[in-house]
Amino acid sequence: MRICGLFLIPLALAGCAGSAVTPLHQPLVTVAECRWEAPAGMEKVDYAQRVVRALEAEGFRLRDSDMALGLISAERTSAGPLRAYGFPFDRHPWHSLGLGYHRPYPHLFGAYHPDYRAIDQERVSVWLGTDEVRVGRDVRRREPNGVTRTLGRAGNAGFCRGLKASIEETAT
Amino acid sequence: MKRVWICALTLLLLSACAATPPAAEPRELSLGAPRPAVMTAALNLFTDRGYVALGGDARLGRLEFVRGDDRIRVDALSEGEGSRVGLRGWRNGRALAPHELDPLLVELQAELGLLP
Repeated sequence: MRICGLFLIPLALAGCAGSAVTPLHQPLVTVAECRWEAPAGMEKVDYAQRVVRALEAEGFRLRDSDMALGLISAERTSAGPLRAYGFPFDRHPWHSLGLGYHRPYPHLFGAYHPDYRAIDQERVSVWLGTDEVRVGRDVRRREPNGVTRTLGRAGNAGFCRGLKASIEETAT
Repeated sequence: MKRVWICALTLLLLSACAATPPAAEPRELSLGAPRPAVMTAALNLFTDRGYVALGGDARLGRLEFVRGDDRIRVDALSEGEGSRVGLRGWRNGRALAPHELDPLLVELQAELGLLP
């Protein structure tokens, strides 16, 4: 009878094994602000120059571009939020056992240091299609303990609105 | 003696971590459309699905996309009149099984209007 209880353990743990993954071909919620009509009566290269200037003005670095495709990729790295250094469970799973402390002395509840912070990496692509301009943006956050997480697309609408405005500003 | 056995068992267990991860296997398909059309269709498809293009080159026939933890590489080669497309994928740096890329290839064909 007791052996039946043992079978319950893997059954219960099986729930932890899988995680919800979006299928590769499934579209995400589209952000209407990140698509606009291609400007009429304007060379693609001229528009691309404006896009690059606007991106660089916002602190992006050009990563790759191809004018035959009308594709511009850029990225930007910025400082993220501060993280508590030496907080229990922060760095190692065995931290709380008294192991894996950093040298001088363990901070029991963590300490803040201006260099110990997350780093946000933004990757942006602008595609100048035949009749549409599409902007894509993906933000990764690197935690100081080495974990990398993908942030959602929550800020994309605002970003695209700002980018479009600064592209049109560059035009004058 | 017991300690030796424990050490041997630990080493055996850890040896599983030392193996090199398998390289990403491409999923390839011949399409009856010229290469520039295929690349435009791929850009159209992937940007519509929320992917961000990391880079690409029309002459090289290569495009690279990322969405969250997934990374997809598209290789397009000219093949006679048409072209040959290869898709490779990684999730969190690990190669995806080729069959997971099949829906993308089907959608690429639909984008080109090659599906019956």
